Amino acid sequence: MPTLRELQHDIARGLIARDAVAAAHVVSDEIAAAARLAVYRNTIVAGLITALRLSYPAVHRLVGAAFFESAAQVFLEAQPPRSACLDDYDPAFADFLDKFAAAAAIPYLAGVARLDWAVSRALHAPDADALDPARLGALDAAEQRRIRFVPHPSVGLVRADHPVDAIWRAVLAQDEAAMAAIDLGDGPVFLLVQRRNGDSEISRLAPATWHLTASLCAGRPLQDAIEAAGDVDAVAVLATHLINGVFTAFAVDEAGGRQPREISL
Amino acid sequence: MKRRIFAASALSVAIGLALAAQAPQTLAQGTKDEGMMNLPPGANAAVVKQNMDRMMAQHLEKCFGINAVAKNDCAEGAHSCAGQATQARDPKSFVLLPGGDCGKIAGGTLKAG
Repeated sequence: MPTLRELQHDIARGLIARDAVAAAHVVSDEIAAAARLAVYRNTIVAGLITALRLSYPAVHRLVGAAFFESAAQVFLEAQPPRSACLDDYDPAFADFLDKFAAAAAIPYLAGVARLDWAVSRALHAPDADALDPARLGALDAAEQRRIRFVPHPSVGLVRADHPVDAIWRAVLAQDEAAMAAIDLGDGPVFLLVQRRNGDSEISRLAPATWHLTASLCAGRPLQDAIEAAGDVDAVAVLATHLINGVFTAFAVDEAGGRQPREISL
Repeated sequence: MKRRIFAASALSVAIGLALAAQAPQTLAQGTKDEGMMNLPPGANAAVVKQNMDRMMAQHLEKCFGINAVAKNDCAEGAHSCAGQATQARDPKSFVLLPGGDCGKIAGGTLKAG
């Protein structure tokens, strides 16, 4: 008798990898064991392809349903879900497309996929109140230099070599004139994705602004982030992000220490 | 040393601008006050306003085609019959040619990779 863990492992492997190991555990009764398992396998595959299609709608439009389903099937057999929540499936699809030989003719596909994922994450992220700028007023200059911001859960940053935001909009709007007008040389693009008032919002940032924003969202102390960003109008970036609710909280490390002194939620 | 001072003052000014934007009725008054005198070069309300206008222009971006409903709801594929439909999909008959809108993108190509 296999243990439950062995049984689960065999069934999972048999369903995804299509080998016969799972069928040995299934009773054949009028309907053969392999045929019974095929029902589960097909349901799982259809569910996972649907999950990917919902997360990557622009990719789906770009390559068409048949190619998308074929590519998704190759992907899901190599990288089945690790989470029971299908909303988490799967950020690795963009990296997969980047290296997928059959999609090599579409150099911007992985970039569009990353934007698709960022938008999907923005839409599914939990709600969080924006940081009230008034809470920052009590900090002295030394504390302001060390401040670390916490980004809103819906905030995502995408960098792509091609104008994937224009492609994304044109394809999802089915605007053929806009598709024809796209200049693939109009890149790279530096994008900020955020949910505001219930909808996703995609903004193009200047490269230095994007790098500063990425540093701040990664929790880098303000002084370090500004120095690393180079020539950037830090005031405008900070004010715009505070107004737009890009941050939800902050922490200030003790001078020379690593423990946050304060966390404002 | 100048940069160290700047990081802190940048945040101070940004806080002021953000607070002013939260209370538009006090902005006009505020811009004439000493608050704006402390602005570093290149940092002013006009820049922030430009950014805001740009953001507002793109505001309420419609997420075409996105179904924000949790995928575990899975109306499609929840039934075994829906699963059976995919049985015809033979992995060997892989579609090598993208058949979607990529051909309509300028500079796009329809050749298999």
